[in-house]
Amino acid sequence: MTIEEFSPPGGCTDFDNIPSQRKGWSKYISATIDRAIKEVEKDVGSGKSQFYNETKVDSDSPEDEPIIWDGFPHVLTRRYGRAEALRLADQLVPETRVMGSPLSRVQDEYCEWRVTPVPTAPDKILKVTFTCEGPEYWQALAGGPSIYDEEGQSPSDFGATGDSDLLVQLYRELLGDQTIQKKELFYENNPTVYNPWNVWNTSKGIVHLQQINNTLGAEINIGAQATVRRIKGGAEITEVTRLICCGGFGVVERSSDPRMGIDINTRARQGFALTLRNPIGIYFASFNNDGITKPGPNNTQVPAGNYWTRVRGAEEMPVRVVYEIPVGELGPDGKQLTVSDLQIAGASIQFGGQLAERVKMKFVARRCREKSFNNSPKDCISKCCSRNGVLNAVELTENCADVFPAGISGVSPMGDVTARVQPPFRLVSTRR
Amino acid sequence: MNITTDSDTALLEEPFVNLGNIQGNIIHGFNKSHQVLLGLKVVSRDGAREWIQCIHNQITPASEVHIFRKLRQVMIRRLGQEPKHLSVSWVNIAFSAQGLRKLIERPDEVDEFEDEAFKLGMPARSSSIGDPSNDENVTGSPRNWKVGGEATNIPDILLILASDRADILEEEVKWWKNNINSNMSVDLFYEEPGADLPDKLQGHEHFGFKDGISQPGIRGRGREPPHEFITQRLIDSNDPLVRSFAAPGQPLIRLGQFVFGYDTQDSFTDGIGRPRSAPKWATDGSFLVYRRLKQEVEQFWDFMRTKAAVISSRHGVDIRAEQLAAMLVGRWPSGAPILRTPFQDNAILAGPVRNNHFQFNNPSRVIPINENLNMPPDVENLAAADFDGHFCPRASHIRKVNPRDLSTEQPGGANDTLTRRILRRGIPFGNVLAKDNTSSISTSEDRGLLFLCYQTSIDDQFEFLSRNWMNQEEAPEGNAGSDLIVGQNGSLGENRVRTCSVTFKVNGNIVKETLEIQGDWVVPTGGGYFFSPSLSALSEQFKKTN
Repeated sequence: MTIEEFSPPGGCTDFDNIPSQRKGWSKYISATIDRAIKEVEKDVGSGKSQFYNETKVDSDSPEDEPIIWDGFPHVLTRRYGRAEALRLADQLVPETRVMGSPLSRVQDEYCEWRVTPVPTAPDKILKVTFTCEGPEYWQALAGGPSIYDEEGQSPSDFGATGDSDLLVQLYRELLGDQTIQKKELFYENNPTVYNPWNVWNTSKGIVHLQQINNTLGAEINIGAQATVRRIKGGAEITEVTRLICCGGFGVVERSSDPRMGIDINTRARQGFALTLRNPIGIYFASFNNDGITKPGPNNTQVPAGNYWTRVRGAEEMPVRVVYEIPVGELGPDGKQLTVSDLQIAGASIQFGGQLAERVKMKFVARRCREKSFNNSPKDCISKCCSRNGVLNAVELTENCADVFPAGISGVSPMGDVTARVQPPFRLVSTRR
Repeated sequence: MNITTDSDTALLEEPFVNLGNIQGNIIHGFNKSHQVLLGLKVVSRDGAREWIQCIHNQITPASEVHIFRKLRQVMIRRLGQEPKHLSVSWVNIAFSAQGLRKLIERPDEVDEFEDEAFKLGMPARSSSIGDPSNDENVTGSPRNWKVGGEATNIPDILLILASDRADILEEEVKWWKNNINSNMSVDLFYEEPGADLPDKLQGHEHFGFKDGISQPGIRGRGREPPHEFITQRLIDSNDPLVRSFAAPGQPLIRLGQFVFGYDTQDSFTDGIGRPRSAPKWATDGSFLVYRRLKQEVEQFWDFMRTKAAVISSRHGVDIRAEQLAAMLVGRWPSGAPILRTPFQDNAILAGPVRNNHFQFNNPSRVIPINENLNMPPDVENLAAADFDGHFCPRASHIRKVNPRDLSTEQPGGANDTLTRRILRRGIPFGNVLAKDNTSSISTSEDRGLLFLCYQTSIDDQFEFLSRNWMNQEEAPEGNAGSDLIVGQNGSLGENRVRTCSVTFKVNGNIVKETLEIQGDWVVPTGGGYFFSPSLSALSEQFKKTN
């Protein structure tokens, strides 16, 4: 059966009272998927894409499989070591790849968070707010031109014209601040264009994903590209890093992109038809509360409660979570406990990232019709080079040594094998 | 061993190793049938430092272990069997963080270790690896541990004594006790004997399964001529696999993962990883994790028998208790991998090389072995790919702690898995529980495993394996389920329930069966995090103060 429409992520209902909004959103996602399929067909041939659009192609007896990865930015840990990575991950930095270099979070595993300090004790953490809501959803709420899409391809072009009053109302509700003004959410010099890096989503609050690679479009693109089987040096690629180096569909040293890629590619090799389960989105999969303790009597530590509280999204599809000690939960000194009073594995919580390290993210792949495809594997379109110890997928013609040249055996005894980092989303212009 | 020109470059990847300076249990392992752990407290700092200088020459270096192993191999070749009278006794020493702070020249240098786990100690970390909390006040709660559960009973010093023979070890223990008692600067408060199980169970643990089969290979050569490889290379030098594997299923890992002062393993490539911060004197040293693990043997087999009967009845199949247990371990009791022989144990596949020649993501191929070793080729019952875990379940213990060529939730996949490996040096303790009721040995008597392992990051290696893989259902693979054998569920409100699924083929159809258990078959009853310094550090950092 086909599905009737692509629903908004997480079962969110904000679109329900906006005329044509749900339908427009569905068309937008459908068009995004169709574009991704067309890209795949450039490699595998017309009509041969294993990635399909579930509103147009049947899923018979589908199986759904969550694909899981760590929420903390692995790129940071790898480059700087854990201690420094924790410090950096909580910060905002100018995003120089965007015109105007707005301040941006650097968390790039589709899991972003913001620390709110205790108002009367700014060195202590009151709460940590997590989001994995794609920016396109909020773009659709805002309406108007989108910086995430080519001209004519924005949600509003498909009928999801949004409701900017609802947009600002949601901002006010989520952030608990009635002073937020609508105009602050749009570009000052182009008030019809929604600004994902507005202050209420960066320096003063957090509402949705805004790191430039954390988009629904990227997720769909990776899902589609990963269905292309790859070959190098005469052997089909079955290894996670070599695949993303060869297919160039994401950032090599992340947790998310390679994991998405290899799990989908493995099913593609089994001949499945593949798509992403509706509602398409990224979700929080789990939070590991083991080893989180709070002060107990006589200088002991006792198990803390699980303060990971879903705020938005359905139970199995949370998209916004707040980690905060309930008011009235006191320490042995009689004072309100704060997040900073807790320990994780014996170490005090100083950074939001320590909680992010306990978070797992997911999206859900859907597969059906095993062995219905037998596409021949395609040659690589990128390679991995190492610069200053960092692996990046680059063009094949780039003048640097391929880290995984054909013919050198790797960890897999099947011998070996052997990426262009192109942000999957196209920042057309900021139109500022 | 012949090395071809192509593989000469591989020699560049094999650093010289200071075997004479590294303690003997780390790289090769004592591998003795009889061991005793002694836990000591420092009574007097100066006296203890002086005592350490006195016993310094009693500590066995890796060079001696290496020589002994070669001697044993030479004698086996001559005799055609294990030599009857080749015996030694060996000793190694390790210090907890609090012990180091009491004893070394500059105690604040302990903070130069980047590993938080070592510095905080096991009791502070135990709930993060799933151990029951002190609040729960059960056997596995640190407050009830036999050793190491509270600051007051964490050994400052841990001695490992080992010998091939029980009588020799007894003498060794006596000598050490006399030495300690007469010294009075250190106090012996903990003694724990361990021994190989007898007869047919030799080399097995108390559930009955062969233990210690899959150990990582280590890149490196002895500094002294003839510069032999630390890990014997079995693969034919003409096979490209020789660059990255010592033997089928045994990848070569950079020594820095296990011993400080050497290159670590990169998590994405075969290359060099980020160095792990440690004091300068940590070179040639290693972190030692000790866990006293009680095994509930009767409960384990009761579950297997009961559940196997239920599954058999429900699906009209014949699943035996041993088969179900093998699915959850990943090996049959003989050590034969279930992936290569899914339905019954197989003595041939339990043999060396065969018992570790398999992987999960890709089918195995014939791997030629160095012909000088006179080993028959391993060509039959090669393992097929098993991505979905139909033959070796995703929740099976060996798959959970060593996913081999599978991608995991960590980027880097199989390369990242290399960085999680540990060197296991455990030994059973306690009497075997007889399967029939004729034995007078009580089921409540303590028996289990003195689990010991070495690494240079407790957080990223030992604790990672417990916290991230054994205890979590969604890792290392999605829908993996918990490791029912050794995993723990310390999550609030979940009553330590662990769940996984196994699949069977019934009349050609894949049938899934969910297994759930409350309570643990393996219970922590003691332990600690320690540092095993080099012999030179032992000499320099614990000098008598004038």
